Amino acid sequence: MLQLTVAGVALGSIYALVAIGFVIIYRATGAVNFAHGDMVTVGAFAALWATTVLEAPILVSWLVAVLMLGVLGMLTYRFVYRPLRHHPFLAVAIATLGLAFVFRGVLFVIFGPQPAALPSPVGGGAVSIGGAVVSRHLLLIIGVTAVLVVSQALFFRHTFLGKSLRATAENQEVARMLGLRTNRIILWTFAYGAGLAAVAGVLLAPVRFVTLDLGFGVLLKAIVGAIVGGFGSLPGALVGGLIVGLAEVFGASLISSAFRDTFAFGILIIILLVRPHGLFQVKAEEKV
Amino acid sequence: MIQVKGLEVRYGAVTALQDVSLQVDEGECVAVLGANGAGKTSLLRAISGFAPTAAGEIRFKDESIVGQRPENIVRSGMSHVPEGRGILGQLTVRENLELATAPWRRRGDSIDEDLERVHSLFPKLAERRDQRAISLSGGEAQMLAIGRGLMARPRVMLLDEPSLGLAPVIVTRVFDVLEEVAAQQLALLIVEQNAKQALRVADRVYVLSQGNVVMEGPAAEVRDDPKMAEAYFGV
Repeated sequence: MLQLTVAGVALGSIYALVAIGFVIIYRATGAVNFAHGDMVTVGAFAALWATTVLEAPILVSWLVAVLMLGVLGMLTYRFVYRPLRHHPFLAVAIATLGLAFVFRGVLFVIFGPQPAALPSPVGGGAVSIGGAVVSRHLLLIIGVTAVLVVSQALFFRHTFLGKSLRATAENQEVARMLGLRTNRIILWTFAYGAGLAAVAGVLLAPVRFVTLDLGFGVLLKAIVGAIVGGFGSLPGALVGGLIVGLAEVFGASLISSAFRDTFAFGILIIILLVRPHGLFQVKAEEKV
Repeated sequence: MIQVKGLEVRYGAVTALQDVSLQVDEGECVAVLGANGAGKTSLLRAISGFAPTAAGEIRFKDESIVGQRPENIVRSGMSHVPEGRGILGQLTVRENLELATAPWRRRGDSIDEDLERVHSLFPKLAERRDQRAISLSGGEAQMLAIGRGLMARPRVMLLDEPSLGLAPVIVTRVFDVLEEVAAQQLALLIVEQNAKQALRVADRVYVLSQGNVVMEGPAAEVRDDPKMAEAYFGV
């Protein structure tokens, strides 16, 4: 039972990280970034590249991946979002979908179709907690996510940039009236969101293999999590991601692993029937 | 401080302002009066860079600011207190005030003195500093909007209908504060429907009707002019 809970929370943490990155960009710009899942994949490949080609230690490769994705997020803002920002919502959505295929294509050309393994900095071992055997890496996933979520909350609450981000998310025009350089703020939001995707990628890679499909399914589940939590809400993205991860792990183990991917959507349907706006309802005036 | 010459603002086929010229001198309080749809909001939005200037010239501190980004115009010393107040409801009162210091604040600068000054003008804001701004009443929200404008340490402050939706006694209080602020070397450009209050605090007045300036002069003269009523309530 404890084993399953840890596995569910760990998987849910990944979904939550991806959902938070996705929602943060949505809140700042009103745009959805369908390339976000493939940014997870790119993050894992970036770390793989750093460990193999640069022969960097694993933790350094994580840093490389996060920095590279930060830059990639900025480029996405500059060359995909910004030219289209005055166009309808759908134009940006389709463009990011196209970007996702670009990422895949480039990764395929560079790394080929072979799955590769990215080791964990804590190795493949397990620890025993109260009789249950729990993988160290799963605990690392949970720990890293917890630290990130808490520092992010403190950042939004207590720093000038964090408050500027919230102001920009709430009303971009008013933020500009206060003299905030919203372009720059949104640029950093894209960098941060993509950086979170990289973290999810390097955390997930040791559990799965590094493949071209690594991030795609993850984004789908993360979006389900974000909707379950109440789309647009950051606490909602966290809680929703965790719920989806737990449902998937418990469902697969107790009911049937053949239906592994259906549990997330089952939860989604149930939640939407009971609470159509998700668990943490985002009020109209909170939306972008 | 602000010179506007031959300003034209258009939204598609609709002309909102036509050949509008006006001037605000250092420390002066200027009111622009006009009915709904006269183009008052477009005028302020064009000056602060939010509405596109189709023709004409806008100068601020002797530099042309046409085509500049609004946030950079604000950063160069022009506060804009928008119609409907533009309160960031999910942020606290204090956070709203704090963010408005973006134009001048550098790492480590204290904002306490500026906060103190706004709190002494609007004691209610001090009481409510840690509440979310969405919980404020209309009058308090207007005070916060003005307080925010002051936190930027502007040379000139644009105010869009500060009386909008407020009870008469609150309107009087708001304009009392504006009078006090105007006495402190800060130039004000107020657009208003409430002519009585605006004429009380303004040095000079422009009357705007259907996108054109139809009258201008010292507030005292306009106050007693019968043509004024015509510009206002006539066609």
